[in-house]
Amino acid sequence: MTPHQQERRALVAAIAMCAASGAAVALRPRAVAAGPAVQLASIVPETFGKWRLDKDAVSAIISPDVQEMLTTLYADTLSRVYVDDQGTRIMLALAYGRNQNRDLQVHKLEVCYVAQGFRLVGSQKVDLETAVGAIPALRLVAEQGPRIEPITYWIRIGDRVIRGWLEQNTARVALGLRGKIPDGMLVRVSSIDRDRSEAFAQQRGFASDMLAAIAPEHLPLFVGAIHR
Amino acid sequence: MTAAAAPPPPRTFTPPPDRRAWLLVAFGLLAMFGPTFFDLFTGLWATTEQGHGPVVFVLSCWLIWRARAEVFSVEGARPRPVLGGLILLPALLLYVLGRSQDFPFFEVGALVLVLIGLLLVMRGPRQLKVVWFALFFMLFMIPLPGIVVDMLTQPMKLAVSYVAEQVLFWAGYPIARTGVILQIGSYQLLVADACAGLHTLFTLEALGLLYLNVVRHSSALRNVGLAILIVPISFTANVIRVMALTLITYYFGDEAGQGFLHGFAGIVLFLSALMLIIFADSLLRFGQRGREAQGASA
Repeated sequence: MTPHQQERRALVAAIAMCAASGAAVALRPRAVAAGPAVQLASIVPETFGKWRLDKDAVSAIISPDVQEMLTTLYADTLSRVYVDDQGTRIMLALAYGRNQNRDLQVHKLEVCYVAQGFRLVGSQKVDLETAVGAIPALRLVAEQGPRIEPITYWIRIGDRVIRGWLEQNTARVALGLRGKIPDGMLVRVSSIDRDRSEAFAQQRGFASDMLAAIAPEHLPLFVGAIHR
Repeated sequence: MTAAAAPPPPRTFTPPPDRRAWLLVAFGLLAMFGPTFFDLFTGLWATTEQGHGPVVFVLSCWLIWRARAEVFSVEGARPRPVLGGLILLPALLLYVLGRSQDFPFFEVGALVLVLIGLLLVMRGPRQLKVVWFALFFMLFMIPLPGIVVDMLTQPMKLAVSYVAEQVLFWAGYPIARTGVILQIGSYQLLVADACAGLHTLFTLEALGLLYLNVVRHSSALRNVGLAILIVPISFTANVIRVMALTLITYYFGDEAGQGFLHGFAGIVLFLSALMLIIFADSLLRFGQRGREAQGASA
């Protein structure tokens, strides 16, 4: 081992390391999604199908620190209660995040509900048949004492609807390597109902009616490219 | 191999004959990990969950610095450039993926592999063995992926809240719990992520391992035993902290609980952890002495 030989090896290593450093900078995604020009509140109609906005429903009072977290995580949120003629109530919650990089990823419902003392029963993958196509969604039931809340929800990242951490991160990297920072949307539909299968059926109908009533240009915001 | 075959390691550091080569390597390392550490210090490491990162980083550097005479010595160097290169290449790809696509786990994890590869290229297995603990120690500063943090934090938080509630209820306090929300008297406390103790666990485990490595206990029982015992110790310390905060709020009000006494509870946490570790270590030593005495009398 001569110093000369060592220097040659070190030079090769140093060049490779500088190349890696440069490649990392070059491959970093920069383009942030433009996002909707209008508020979610005006994108989602107040009446669609058999559903109309329940103006009497008192939406949950959100504590200031939760509100603060929501504002840092999401560019826009919407929380509404809809009712039909039979008096069936459905709660809709939307959260739109412009920048789905690591720090600001859409949060999984499973974590938030458990922290608030709910017991989560059975998380189930379903292909939700809607007017605009099948959506890979998740169904679960949150229980807290007498309150039983079946939930249907899905998360869109970029142009895909994803389920689970692995899909979320593959979607992110797939767009990231093309230079794009994906945006994301969480759509949650739930109702307080002891009859789970009835609740899930109502929720599917509700989601389908809502998506059918949304203007075509805003639809990718909710379901990505699956309807095409 | 007899002791005579291995030349005694140099005690004092003398600049190696190939220092120009090392300067090149250092430049490459700076180009890669300079920006990484800048981001860590201004971002992730400033948060409570990963707050142990800087401590581990500084201590790893110190461990390597302490062994510099042996690491840079050309005595007994058997470079393995092919093996080193085979480790270096995937490490660099991991770094590129991690840094460009924002996976700090891969980005910082690549550092350990890069250092192993470089040492094999420049020196050889013997010098690598000298710093194995420093490199192993570095694993503690790799930021955990969000999914792992979430998966560990949630059950730990629930467990800490549950035990704190049970103990205080047993002691006769008017306490109730829903999930991670504790209700004591007229106050409601939310057990935050920081109270889950993931950060405490990592800090204590890292510092415990460092302590064991520096004092070099010869007994495997004591080394492994203490390393394992740190897990329940850290949990207990966190329960004590949550109970202390709950009682402070109960007796002195919300402001005291959120104010300077919050920092005080953090000190309580580390003091109780320290005392529990010393206690556990004494027990282990006691048990070992008992076994030795038994062996001597037999």
